[in-house]
Amino acid sequence: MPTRNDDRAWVLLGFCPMLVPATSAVSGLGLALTTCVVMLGSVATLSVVRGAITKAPRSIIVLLVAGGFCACAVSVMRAFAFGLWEHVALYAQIIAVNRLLHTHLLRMVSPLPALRAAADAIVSALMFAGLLVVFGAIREGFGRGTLFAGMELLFGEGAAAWRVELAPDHALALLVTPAGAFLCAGVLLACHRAVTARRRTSHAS
Amino acid sequence: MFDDVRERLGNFFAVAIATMCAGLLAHVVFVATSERIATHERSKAAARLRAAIGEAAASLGDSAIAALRAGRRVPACDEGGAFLHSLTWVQTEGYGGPLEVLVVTDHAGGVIDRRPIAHRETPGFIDATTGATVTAKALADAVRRARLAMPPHGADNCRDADP
Repeated sequence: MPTRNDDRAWVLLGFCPMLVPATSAVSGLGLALTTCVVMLGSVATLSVVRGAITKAPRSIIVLLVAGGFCACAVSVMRAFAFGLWEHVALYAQIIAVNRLLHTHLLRMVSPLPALRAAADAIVSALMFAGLLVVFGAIREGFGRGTLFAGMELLFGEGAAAWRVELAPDHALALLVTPAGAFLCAGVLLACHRAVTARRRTSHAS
Repeated sequence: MFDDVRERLGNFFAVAIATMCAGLLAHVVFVATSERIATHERSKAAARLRAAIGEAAASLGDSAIAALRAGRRVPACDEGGAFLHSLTWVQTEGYGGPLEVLVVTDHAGGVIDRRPIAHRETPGFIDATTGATVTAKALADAVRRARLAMPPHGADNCRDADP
């Protein structure tokens, strides 16, 4: 279990529930947009009412606010991107209880300055959203041999032409399975650690 | 003591107001989008029905589709009038609400396929039923009801089918 101050471990844990459904760039983008709507709506609401929230029920209120915006985001996705909703429905609904977002939203109702807490939450949400899109694109590229396939689910029929064929015959299908999501995340983390270690070594020398 | 009671009351009202606001917000957006969602679900149900009926789709007229929706069992026939399979549209209750299933049976009553036509279940659960969910039990119930609707003797007759 990570300690309270181990931010990177919390980021990883917060990312875990979103790993599995991000099988393509469009799935990642759908989840990213839902995350941004939930985060921005919750931050705006909490920044208005933060003075009225006492210490005791703040976690419950943060959950309720995030849950309300999550329900709205899911309804809008279901109405305007029905095909995409069918792919990510269950996972879009649990964004409201994502540990990473919840931690940042709790800071909105803490004694921290409102502007700083809001900027922190929004930057985190945007980074989280960007990470989902990149992660989905990597899994789609290596797992299916395509890129931006199914964008018409989100942007209409015209976006079908955005599809790029990389190497569908040489795709590693394991990467688009749930187990493949964690393998892919592990490889990315190992790459990140290797790059960081090399950078430290070059700075030291 | 009064301060403690006042704080507890304050917390209670804060949570109650937050609950009402969150519920109201979600409800307003849901109502605003419900018509569009219903349109998507109807077209999805029609596509699923066409996929479920397959090659017999051309042999079923509007009256046969209406009979299906009314709960009657309808024989699906090929262009030459030969019996392909029986179709039964069953409505049951899933986890998320009404679950409509098209059960396809052969002339001996064996279940060939069962396809959800309209539902409010979680998409991933309806595709991979394992017996552990309400959705799976609802699908099994739909198949059971379709079997109960089988006639006591033999196959359906294509000649008696609606055009």
